[in-house]
Amino acid sequence: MRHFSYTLLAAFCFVTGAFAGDYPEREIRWVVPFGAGSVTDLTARKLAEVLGQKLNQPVIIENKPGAGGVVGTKEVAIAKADGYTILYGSSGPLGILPALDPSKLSYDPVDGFDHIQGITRSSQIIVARPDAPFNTISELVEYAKENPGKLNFGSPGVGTAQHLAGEVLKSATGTDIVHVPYTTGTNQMVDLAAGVIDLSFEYAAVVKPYVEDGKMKVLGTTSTERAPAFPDAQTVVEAGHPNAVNFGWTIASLPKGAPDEVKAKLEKAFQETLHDEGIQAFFAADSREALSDVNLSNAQEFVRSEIDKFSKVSASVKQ
Amino acid sequence: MDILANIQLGLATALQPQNLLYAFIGCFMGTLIGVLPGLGPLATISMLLPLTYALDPAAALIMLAGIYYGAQYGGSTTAIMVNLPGESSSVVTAIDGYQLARKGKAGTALATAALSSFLAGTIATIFIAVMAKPLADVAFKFGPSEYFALMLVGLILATVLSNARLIESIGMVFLGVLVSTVGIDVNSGDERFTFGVTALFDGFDFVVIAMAIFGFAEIVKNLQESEDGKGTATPRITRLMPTLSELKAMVGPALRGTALGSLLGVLPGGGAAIASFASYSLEKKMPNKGGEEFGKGALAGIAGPEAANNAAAQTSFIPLLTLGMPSNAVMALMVGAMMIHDIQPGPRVMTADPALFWGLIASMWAGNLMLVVLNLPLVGVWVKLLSVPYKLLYPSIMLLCCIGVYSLKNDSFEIYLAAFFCVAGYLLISLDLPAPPLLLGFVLGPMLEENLRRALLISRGDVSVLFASNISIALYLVGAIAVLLMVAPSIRRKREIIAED
Repeated sequence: MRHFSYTLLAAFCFVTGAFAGDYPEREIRWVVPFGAGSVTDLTARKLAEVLGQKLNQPVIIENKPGAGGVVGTKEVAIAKADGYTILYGSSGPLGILPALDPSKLSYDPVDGFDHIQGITRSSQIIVARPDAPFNTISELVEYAKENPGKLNFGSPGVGTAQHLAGEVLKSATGTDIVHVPYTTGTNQMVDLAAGVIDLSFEYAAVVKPYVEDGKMKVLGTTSTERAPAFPDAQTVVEAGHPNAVNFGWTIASLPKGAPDEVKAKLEKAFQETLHDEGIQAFFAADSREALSDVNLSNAQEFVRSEIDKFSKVSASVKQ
Repeated sequence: MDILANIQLGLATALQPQNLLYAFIGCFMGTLIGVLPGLGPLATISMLLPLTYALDPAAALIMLAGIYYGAQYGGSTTAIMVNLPGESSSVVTAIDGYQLARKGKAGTALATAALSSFLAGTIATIFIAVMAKPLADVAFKFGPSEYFALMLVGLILATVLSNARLIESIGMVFLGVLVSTVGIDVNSGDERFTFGVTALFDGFDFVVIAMAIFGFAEIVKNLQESEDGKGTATPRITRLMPTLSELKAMVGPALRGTALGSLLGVLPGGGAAIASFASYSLEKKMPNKGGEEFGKGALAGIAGPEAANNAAAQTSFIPLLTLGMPSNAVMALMVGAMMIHDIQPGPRVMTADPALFWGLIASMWAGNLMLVVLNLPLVGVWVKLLSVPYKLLYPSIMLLCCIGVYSLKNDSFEIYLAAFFCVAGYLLISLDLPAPPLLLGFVLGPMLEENLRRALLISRGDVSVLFASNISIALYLVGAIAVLLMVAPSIRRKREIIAED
């Protein structure tokens, strides 16, 4: 019944033409293509509170999990482009999966959306089991070259940002390291701490407690700059492999064809949200950065270039 | 001495009026959603998560934990009353519990479930307080090859458990494993049996299959049996509380179930489900004093598994609090809840925030006590449910189940899947094939495959890695003994007699 009345309301707005100028006139649905309780979901719920204040309308989170984010992303791709359905886009369904196998997707990651504003960007921390015979990225690459195929790295699954971080490093350094996929990030962390696997490319918030407890050691980061949480760890750039730079990112997107006024209004509201002090502290606690420099002017290009980057390593992923 | 001081600190935290209140709210809501078939703790906790932003971290976690084990209690209520296990861990409870309910002893069954859960909860709380640290180290010793051995033993136990003919149980386990392979393969990322349907990429959800086969199919069968739409007319209920001799009979199974559950709960991945199945098969192997028949309403078949799953539900907090490793989806949500409050679950919680750690543990016991107080008087209310005419009861059950299935992914495709499995389940029931082994095969199959392939991937295809550790070898021995018992002539004869009935 509620749904029906919203449809009616939407139809009414359309008929009267009171459309973009007064946007938003009712609640906004923000589709998170991952399950409740996931990092993405928690971030979205936190952002939604502030975003709702900026827009003077409630922003309702709707979880549409499935197929690594493909289900929810597609849901938004085919939704009405009126600004009342927003996507919590991310590097998985918009960058990596299109690079690995575009035939599996029923949406166009670049031209199927109006990408509005970058939200977060997080580099991976390269960690190793505590007794590994290397301590930095340079030593790791050297060891891997001398022992091709001997090392392995865990990830939370095929096609995750953490998996691709490993593949990007392999391709940039010309090394052979075996990928061991898991279904959850925490299981592989425990296996790494127990010495079952050798390496992992994980987010700072995930590895931090294990590192502090001496259960794994930090070799470096896939970022261009040193991670605030681990200032002693070298970057892949410092180690001489600028092509191994890798980030997981999230972005706010609309279905293709939204009115310009709506896009501009949303971009502004998102930028204000990212500058909110509470939000900045929330990101900093997890060692994430706001992806402020991706906005309406360059978002489409950003998504396209990320797909290109991941495409370069997709051949080795498919094996 | 240290432990006493810790427990004291924990009780001081848990017994603060505010925390007690939130423990009560959690337990109460948990029971409610557990009783409503379909609405699980997962959906409830995720909906309530934003409400905890404003609470103090200990109160928030205590409330969420209360919902979790409250739902375990409530889940066994529906398993017993209407044969609808809301979670994998209460599948076994439905086997004997529902039979008891049909005999008019629903009250006894409910009270047995509540009391043995409380006993298990009390012991498990002490167990956690004493063993949390050493057990966390044991979990570190479980690599892929050890998990593979554990899952294999779990599947063997599942076939031993069933009342049906051996060949049928094995067949159903294999069918369950086969159904579980639908979806994207973890290792290669390739699709299996999805026919290109995006909604099938993640495979089938356990809840969909359990509700369809145990709930929907059972309803269809009931309606078929009585054409006037009355379904299963339950005889008059004679007594609510168990007699003294019944109480005595449940202590042994409950204690054994607690021991099994406490140990298996520490291992991530379906600990509670394996624990209840293992306890049920253990009870079946025990010398039978009361002449009760398993599958026909044996009290031990409720007391053991209920104690086991409650103990396991509590000890599953050990990997969460000490390793930061969630053992199931609800625990993963707890990680999320902790992170909202800037607590990074992991090895540090115990030392960095002892009041929170021990407070949560003490609140588990307080919560269990509340649940007994809350549930025993309510037994009478739940039993009245059975006097509601079936033609009114079954549409409401089906409606609630549909809501529950929809809320899994906010997707109506899941309801179509449930309809499909309802037909499949009806066929199974009509052919007299046992459904529990299928469900256990479905739950354990993916873990079996994943861990086997992971072990071999890491060892570069060297099979000897599977037998490299003492833990694996010990587990294989347990499995071998179970197989031997199963094929031993005397037991086989007994199984066949039961199957003939």
